[in-house]
Amino acid sequence: MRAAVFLKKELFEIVRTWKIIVLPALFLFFGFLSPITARYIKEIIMSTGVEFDFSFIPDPRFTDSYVQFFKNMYQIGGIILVLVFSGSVVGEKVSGSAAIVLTKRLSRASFVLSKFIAGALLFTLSYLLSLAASLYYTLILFSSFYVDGIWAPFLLYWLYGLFLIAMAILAGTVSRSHMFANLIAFGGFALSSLVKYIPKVGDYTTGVFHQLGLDVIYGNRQALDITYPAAGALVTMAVLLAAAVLVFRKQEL
Amino acid sequence: MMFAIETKGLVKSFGSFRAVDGLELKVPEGSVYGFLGPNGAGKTTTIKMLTGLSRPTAGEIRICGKEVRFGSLKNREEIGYLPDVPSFYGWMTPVEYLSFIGELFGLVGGTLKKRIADLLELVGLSDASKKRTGGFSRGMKQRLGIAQALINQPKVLLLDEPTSALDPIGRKEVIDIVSRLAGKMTVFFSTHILADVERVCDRVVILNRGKAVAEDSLANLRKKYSLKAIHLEVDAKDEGVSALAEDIKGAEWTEAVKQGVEGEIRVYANDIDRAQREIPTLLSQRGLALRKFELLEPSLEDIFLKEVNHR
Repeated sequence: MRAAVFLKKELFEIVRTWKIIVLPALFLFFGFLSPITARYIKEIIMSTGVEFDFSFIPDPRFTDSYVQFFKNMYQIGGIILVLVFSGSVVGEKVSGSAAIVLTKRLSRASFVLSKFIAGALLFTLSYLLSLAASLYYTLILFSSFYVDGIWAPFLLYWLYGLFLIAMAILAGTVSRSHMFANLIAFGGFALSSLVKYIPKVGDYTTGVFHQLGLDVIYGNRQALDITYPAAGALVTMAVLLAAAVLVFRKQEL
Repeated sequence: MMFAIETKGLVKSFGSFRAVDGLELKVPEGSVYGFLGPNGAGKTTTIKMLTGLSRPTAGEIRICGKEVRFGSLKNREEIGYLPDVPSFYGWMTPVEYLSFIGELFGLVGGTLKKRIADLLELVGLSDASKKRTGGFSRGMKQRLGIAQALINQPKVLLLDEPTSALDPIGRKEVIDIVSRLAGKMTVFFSTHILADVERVCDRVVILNRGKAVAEDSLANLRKKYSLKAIHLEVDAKDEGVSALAEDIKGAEWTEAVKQGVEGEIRVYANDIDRAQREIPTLLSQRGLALRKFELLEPSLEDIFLKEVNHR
């Protein structure tokens, strides 16, 4: 009940502080940009006037559009998510607004989890828009967009985004300043692509998501091969959020 | 007797530094209680423990008889809290903010609307009710801070330095609001501005280096720290005044007498009660008219400086 009140405030804040425009717009931009760059890469290079032998490069296929899309999303999209969400808890701690609301009937768990849910909703909206743009432009520019199991790489990225938000929220919870929150969140972001090298466990982490998604698009792997890594990500997310709640409960404001 | 706020052996250490050092507080219900101390005395640290925002190193806290535990939601209905630098969500209007805070207490509908309107009226923000708080002055923020602290009709209002960052007008506005709350709830009010305390508080505790160094009603404190001095102004010629001064000097309760200009005499007594009774007799024996008779009281500042410098 109180959590719903705080969640409502979080959603209201997203609207009033223009995040509702900014994040979807950035994601939408990559949704458009990726199919276009994939389709016109030769033309773009030629327009710069650089001498280049294109005979080695095959004509672009519609799958290149997805390759380009996920490259952008796993890199720049990831950085944007970390930047936007690592400040959400620490910002309220630094400004002092948390000290007021947390002397009302609002628990620390509701505070942290509401921030995650609001972030997850904003990200989901942004991602759906970019995904729709990407599919639509791929169809227009390449006259084709479907491969078997195409949902799998898209689902993987959605989980990846949620994982990053949970991590950014934990980073903001353990930190006392924006700078530390950013440092920790970016550290986590960098680590998240390295964890795949951990023997045995590595295959079930977000670190394999990017390549696994591409393998499904190229038909090298089955869509259902994502099951265990996806489950692994869900578990990781739950652990990150539980850690954030536990840390926040012990924190003095 | 149940106290609004009661602490026993309250300690808060940061490493080897004891910010609050065995504090015993007994704040009577319904009082406006001044929590005085120089900067760094441990006032904010204490208030944060009272609100449950920070964890005591040792000791016990009870508010309205209920134990306060760090992070627990149990005492939230009883307290209203205004931090020293209150921060709201700049994108909200006061009405939106107060609705949000009210809903956190489960208030809804007409009750909530009515309460918000009353509170905005009380703190003088009705005209600014639709402006975003991001553009508020410090004074307006403090007043909105008081309104949010009152939304749940708390029994105990904890105000941390509510006037310190304000200009004289802002201070007066805040003090006026506090004086209107007197008698309706217990107001626990930390400050280092003595004039504010003198205007609204009926009891004070003086905190220095984490310890309470004096605790009493203002009247008792004044008595205890009495200057034992009387200021007289007499309507008489210089010879008459000098003669009276000699009479007073001869009395056994007198320590010293200083004669000023235009009939002024200052009497320092070792027994101030007798001096108060017998000076008028001496006056009438000389047939002199009294223009002014003033028992010199210590200001809170005198008491404060004495206590804080002593230790």
